[in-house]
Amino acid sequence: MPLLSRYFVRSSLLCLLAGFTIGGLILTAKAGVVSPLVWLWFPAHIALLLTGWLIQLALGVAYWIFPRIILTVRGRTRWAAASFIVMQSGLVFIAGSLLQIWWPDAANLLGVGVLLQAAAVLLFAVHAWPRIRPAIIRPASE
Amino acid sequence: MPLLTRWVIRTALLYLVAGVITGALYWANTFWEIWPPLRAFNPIYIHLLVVGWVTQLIYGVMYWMFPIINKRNMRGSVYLAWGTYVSLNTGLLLRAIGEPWRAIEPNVVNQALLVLSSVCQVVAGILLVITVWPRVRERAGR
Repeated sequence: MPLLSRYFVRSSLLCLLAGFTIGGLILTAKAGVVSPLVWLWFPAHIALLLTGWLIQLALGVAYWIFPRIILTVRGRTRWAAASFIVMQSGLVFIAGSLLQIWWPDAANLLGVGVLLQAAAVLLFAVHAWPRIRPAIIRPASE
Repeated sequence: MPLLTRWVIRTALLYLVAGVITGALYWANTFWEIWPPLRAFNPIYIHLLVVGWVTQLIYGVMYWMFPIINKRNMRGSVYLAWGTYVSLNTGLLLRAIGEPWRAIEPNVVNQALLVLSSVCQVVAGILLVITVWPRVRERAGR
């Protein structure tokens, strides 16, 4: 598994943890045990699990598994690296939006965060496009 | 395919069936007012699909396919891995009972089910990350 895939997958696992924890708090709020203010974190819960966990994991595994351009060359790797950086920036903004319980203006950070996540997916698509091709089959003699 | 993966994927398939049926009943009821309590299937049908099906399937495949730690300790602690499975499914089943029930008739029992479900699902998230993290590696260990 290449370095960038490991970064993507590890980040996705952390998003799963954060998303499940926030979801757990919302569920206990539904039970009336925790303040209903945690419902403000509902959009972040969705963004963390949908984009942070599922999509980011898919990007990491795609970078690892998709057919390479030539033997060890994965093609437009800078686009994939940029995708990772932009995705993490988006996650930082989404994490910042959790402050809205104490600082209501922080809710706006969520919008910036999801736009950055969308940009990250676009950057990754540019990387992955040429790799959607038949796999390179090496002769058995090599 | 290891034993845990077979259990996880079979369970995930059951959640897929349950999620699709409860989702279909919820939406059919939205349009045709079949039976008012069917409204309580939202949002549990989403969690049956996203947690029970998608996340669980991913967990099963990760456990099977990600690079092994080494030949003596291929997939890490079996207890942690099974603990993830038990905790995730206990939490989701408790939620599947408690959440629709509480939407119809809130009481102390379904309140306790939701709190317990929340704890189980957060624990499942932690155990999943602990189980998978050492397998996010460059190549299989010797």
